[in-house]
Amino acid sequence: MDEFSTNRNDRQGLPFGFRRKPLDERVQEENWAAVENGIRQTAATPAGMTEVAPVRAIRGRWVLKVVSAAAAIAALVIGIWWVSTRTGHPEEMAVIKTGYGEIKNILLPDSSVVVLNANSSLRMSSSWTETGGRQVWLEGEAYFQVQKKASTARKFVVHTKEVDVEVLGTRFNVNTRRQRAIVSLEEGKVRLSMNGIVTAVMEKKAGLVMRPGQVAEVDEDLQAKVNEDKDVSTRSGWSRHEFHFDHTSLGEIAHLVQDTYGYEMVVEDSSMLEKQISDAGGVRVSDVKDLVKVLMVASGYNMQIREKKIYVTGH
Amino acid sequence: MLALEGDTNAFHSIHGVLFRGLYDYALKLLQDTQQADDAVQELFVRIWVKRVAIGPLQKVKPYFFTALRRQVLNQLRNKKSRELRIGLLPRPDIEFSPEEIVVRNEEYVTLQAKIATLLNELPKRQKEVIYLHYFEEMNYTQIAEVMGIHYQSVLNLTQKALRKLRSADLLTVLVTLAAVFVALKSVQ
Repeated sequence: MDEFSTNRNDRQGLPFGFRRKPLDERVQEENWAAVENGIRQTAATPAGMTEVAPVRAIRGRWVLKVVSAAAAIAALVIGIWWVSTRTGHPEEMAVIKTGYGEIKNILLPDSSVVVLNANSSLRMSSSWTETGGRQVWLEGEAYFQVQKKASTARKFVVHTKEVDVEVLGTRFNVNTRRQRAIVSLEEGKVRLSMNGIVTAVMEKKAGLVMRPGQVAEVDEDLQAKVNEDKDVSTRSGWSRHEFHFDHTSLGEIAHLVQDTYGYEMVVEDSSMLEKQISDAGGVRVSDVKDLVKVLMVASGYNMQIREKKIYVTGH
Repeated sequence: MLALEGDTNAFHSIHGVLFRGLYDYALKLLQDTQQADDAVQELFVRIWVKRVAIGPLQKVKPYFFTALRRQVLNQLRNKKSRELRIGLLPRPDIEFSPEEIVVRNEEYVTLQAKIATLLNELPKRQKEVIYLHYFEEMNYTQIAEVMGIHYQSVLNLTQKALRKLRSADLLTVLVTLAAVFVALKSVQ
């Protein structure tokens, strides 16, 4: 264990000491989980491919230096690329945000249209030009109508925390609220890549190709579920100020109201959250007051709005 | 050194022992928690991939720190060349914060801020030597290896830094405090 030994007694010279700032244990655990995941990914590749020349700690023959420099550059390029596609660099980013109850229409430089739902943000490189890559980073929910481009080199990519959606020209909705991403495809074709460490680098080619009418849900553990939805266009109903409830529970609607308007729903009795609500073909509402009126009629409950809360009581 | 022969349990224990130090060091250099987290992940995966080529390691801690430093500096250098184009300069520089300073007397809380300021005024390389020596508890040989400089240079940098710290009048107060502390301790 001598390589871990510290020199605690070698502290003379300074009349004060140092201590580390507190750090959540989970940071370390999650870091190891990501490393393990990365190791597992590399285990799948042939050993000969990955064993590059040794990078000695210091001083080596110049050949080794050149080789290790090349290896370091390769690792660096992958690293930088990976970091930049995952997190982006905020200082070079243009950000468009919406507040609660606000919807924005955004025309991108390539004539693609993004409708950004309430309480969401869309970031993109401020240097995004006609010739550059088409990439955006989404938090919250947005509906995309992406222009087809003849050149496949200019893919349109939507990055979210859980998943990257690579677009092959199309209309689709992406919802990343509540610790998961839901991608609903109306038209065209998209490919999903889960955002694990190294996965993004090594398995970019793989991933899930979606067909129109499909809804893919990717949870925090990057597990994907794909379902068919014959009414897939209702998923983007919000972009036309429409809500669609089809045996939707009041609990789900409470989440929706919270995410869209920032209003919390308070029920008298938790069994009320189970109440299923349906409407005939969608409702158009302009604000939260309108929505509450509709919900009162549909649920038969009494609802009152006070200080950003909706109080739900029985008849 | 079993760890690098293909056993993830041993590799996990290295991660367990070294994570905090590596993460803090990366955070000092990158000043971004997400990037620091990613850098440590990348470092471990990279070393794992190369474990056969690396062979048995005698000095685990300096090796990981050296590799991390090189990786981060490369990253910063690359970022710098990109940012130069849009007119932003990065500061790959260690910065101490008051919460990290322990003064041996709780009454002198404001001293922490003063010491942090004093430390942050040191030249970059002196700061890094001080950081690695006192914060990461490395000896001069290890620091020389990590920073890729001569042993003698580490000594010189440390001496210069300490001389500068001592010359500040604040330090006289501190040294007195420390003396009182030592005296109290020997009484107990």
